[in-house]
Amino acid sequence: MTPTNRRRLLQGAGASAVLAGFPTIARAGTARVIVIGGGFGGATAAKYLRLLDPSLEVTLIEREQRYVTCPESNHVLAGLKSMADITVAYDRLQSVYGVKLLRSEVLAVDGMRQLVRLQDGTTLGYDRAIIAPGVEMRFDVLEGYDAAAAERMPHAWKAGPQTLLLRRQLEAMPDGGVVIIAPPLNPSRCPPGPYERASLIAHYLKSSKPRSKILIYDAKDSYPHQAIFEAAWDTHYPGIIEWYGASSGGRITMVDARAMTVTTEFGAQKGDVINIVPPQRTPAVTRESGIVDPWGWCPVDPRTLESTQTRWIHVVGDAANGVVMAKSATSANSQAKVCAAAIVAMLAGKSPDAPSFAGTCYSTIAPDDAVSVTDIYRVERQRIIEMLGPRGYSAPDETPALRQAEAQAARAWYAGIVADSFG
Amino acid sequence: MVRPPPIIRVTLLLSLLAAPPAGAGEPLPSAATLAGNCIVCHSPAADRQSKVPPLSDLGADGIAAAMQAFKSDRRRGSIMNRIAKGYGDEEIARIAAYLAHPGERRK
Repeated sequence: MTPTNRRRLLQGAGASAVLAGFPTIARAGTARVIVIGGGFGGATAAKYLRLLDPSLEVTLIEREQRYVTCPESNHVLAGLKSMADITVAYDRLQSVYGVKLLRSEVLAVDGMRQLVRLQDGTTLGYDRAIIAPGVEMRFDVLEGYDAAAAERMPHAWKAGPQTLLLRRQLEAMPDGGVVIIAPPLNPSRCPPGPYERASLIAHYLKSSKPRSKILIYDAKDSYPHQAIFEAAWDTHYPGIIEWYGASSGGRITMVDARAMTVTTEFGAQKGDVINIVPPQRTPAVTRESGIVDPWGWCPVDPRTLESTQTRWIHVVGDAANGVVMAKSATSANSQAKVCAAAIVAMLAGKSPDAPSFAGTCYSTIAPDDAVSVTDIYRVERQRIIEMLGPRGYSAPDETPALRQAEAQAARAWYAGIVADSFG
Repeated sequence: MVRPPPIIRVTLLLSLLAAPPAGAGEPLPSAATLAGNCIVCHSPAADRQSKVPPLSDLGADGIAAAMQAFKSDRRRGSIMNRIAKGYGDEEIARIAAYLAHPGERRK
């Protein structure tokens, strides 16, 4: 497509804005893409947009100055990594890739007028917007678990101060203490995450507080890699971890943050450290933007990640769809690349490529022991189709050498995805 | 819209699940799109942490041969046996050609 064609296309977009009563956003030759949220999805989208089309004006709007990764945050809980190890800056997106950074909070995206509304009252026009907001913890589902309770019973399901809080509680706990971990129902961010967490906390307790226990009260009756985790816990951490499924006493009906108890069908259980991972939903900015379906997530066209509710708004990462792809950093990274390529194609008046998604998610059980699930997806008849299913999981009979290789691959994956997403 | 009766919906779902891995009348993803998923774990940053040799050293034929060996389980790796099974032969050829020439892609 020639520059003249692009200009004509953009003038067309500008003209529709004029008709909508907002002549101020009629634009010159450069197409503007606003990316909201600087996690793995948003950062990857911003970087790849600029890589694929350096003429684009790409603005990444993010509330925080730095990003703390959820991947490897369980290593921080175990004392295997520091907060600094899992904290990344946005500098390279700006200096190497020419992404404009704007530190601000978005209230809503007005899809009709193609405007992003910031908390300070500013509005920004766009040709395409990408929302990558991650997830929001729900404080309105489990009785007794509100935002204040999370300061006593951290969720630590968004890495940052909550991670540090949980780590400090584990450090302060006496030997012989009880740690309660409460995983949620799906869909939620990182389905195997709570079990990696139990494993790595057990790794810390085994060496530092060996008389302690971890009780997992699960909202589900089964979980990913269950047979592998259970066998590995017997090997690495005998007697430390006990798991209760929902129908065998694991379902928590109420928590009391003051008394530090959780209530199951067996009554109130006291914990010295209590980690509640509450149900999650798509954050407020998506609800305010009118792109959420009745199931609480953002439906998208899988070929472009464009919202099926509002055109020219795309959603990538945990907030998108909610069903087929696991909510993980790799899924977000993969979706962001498909989304960036689709936007570049569509802004040039071309039809987007057929997409291909992949997500690899490692769970570290011990420093030299990890398992993974690999997901590969393609789109057929406008639906996302999973290619591997159960074949994508580590086999229960893998040798220790292979599991050690997976642990090494997990470290390589972390270094690689941080570099690929944040430059 | 008239919803098909449940039995037909189940059949449709099954036919989707049974869809062959590649082709099936849908256009294949481009080399860049397919390879975009590989470079998360096969990049200079990841290579420093792993024993995986840089893919560009293998050449297109070497990458394709390795993928096919993983796909058929003739070679044992950690996750590559699983990943390779998700791609058809033409997709593997595209991925290999793309990853063999990192200098030609935008960095």
